[in-house]
Amino acid sequence: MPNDNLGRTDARWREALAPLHRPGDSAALETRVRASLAVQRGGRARLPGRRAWLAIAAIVLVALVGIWARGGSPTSSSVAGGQYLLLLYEGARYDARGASHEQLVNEYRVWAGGLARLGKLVEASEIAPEEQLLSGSGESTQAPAGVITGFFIIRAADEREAAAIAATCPHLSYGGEVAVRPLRAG
Amino acid sequence: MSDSAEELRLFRQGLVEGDDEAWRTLYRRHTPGLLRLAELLADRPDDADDLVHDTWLRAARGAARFAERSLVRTWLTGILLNCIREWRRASVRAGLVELPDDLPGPDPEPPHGVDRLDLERVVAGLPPGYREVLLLHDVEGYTHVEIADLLGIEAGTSKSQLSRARRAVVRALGPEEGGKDA
Repeated sequence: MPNDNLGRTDARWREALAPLHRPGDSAALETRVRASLAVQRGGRARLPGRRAWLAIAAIVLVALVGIWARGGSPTSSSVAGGQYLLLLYEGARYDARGASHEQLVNEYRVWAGGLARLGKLVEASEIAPEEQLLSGSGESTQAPAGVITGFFIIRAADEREAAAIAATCPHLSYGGEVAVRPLRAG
Repeated sequence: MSDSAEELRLFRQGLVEGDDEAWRTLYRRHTPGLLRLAELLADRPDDADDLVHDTWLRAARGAARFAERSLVRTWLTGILLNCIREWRRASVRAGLVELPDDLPGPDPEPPHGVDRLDLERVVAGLPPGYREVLLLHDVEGYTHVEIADLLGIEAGTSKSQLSRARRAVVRALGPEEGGKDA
């Protein structure tokens, strides 16, 4: 019964190598892959639910800012292949109590690392809540804690790609919001 | 064997049409296994994230050409194997044919009581061709016909490589490590 013997041998080997059958940790990689896919698709990804609205809002915001800056001339995009500022807001809906600060930092770092590998990341930083307001008279005032808690500067082909990248930011999964603004060169 | 209707729906919506929710479900279903395989197959386990990352990008680019002749899992595994081969910058066949042959004989009994770290160390030290067949067959559960399709070799070659890989594992573990209970 060679087949039976072979089957038993296979079973014993699979049992012996079972310790190798450990699933990898895919969570940290997910945001990076999503960001890369958004770039690969050129911002044509179908975004679900609220994220789609955020992305659309961001595109509208970008368009409005562009129109305003050009004195109301609604021409084509003002930023082609430029840099975009992603501002991370923590509003009333933001809730990251289920994750430690270390986990959050790591998640955002992996996401940013994915952008960096694609040549899409220019700069990023967490922003501390303390701020000072300076007036023209030179006086400074301690301001209340702000709600902008971080920023990324990214490179994108256009507003659509920038919004698609922003839509993959892990900040959104915690109820935070991401505003996308083009940076003007020179 | 074929995928369920739900799996194919997720594949079409997530990878062909770019629906984010469908893609995430598919990603979370298959990535733990892909990562495990990449960590064990890659010459440097640290490359596993990059390899799986590239696998998903290629899958999205080639999704429209998926003919549903294999399982989605098998198709993704094939892409991962291609990524690993390219990263390795050498033909897997070199690893298969350039090795000293063993004397013919029955497959050895598997080692017993070996902990995971020792197994990982021994598997990592195997030549790439041995490592691929051993992991695909004895860890991932693929048949020799499926492995032949994935690696572009004959099923008979898969069987002989598996036998040699098993002997190499037993030899590498040695009587002290490989024979605790044997």
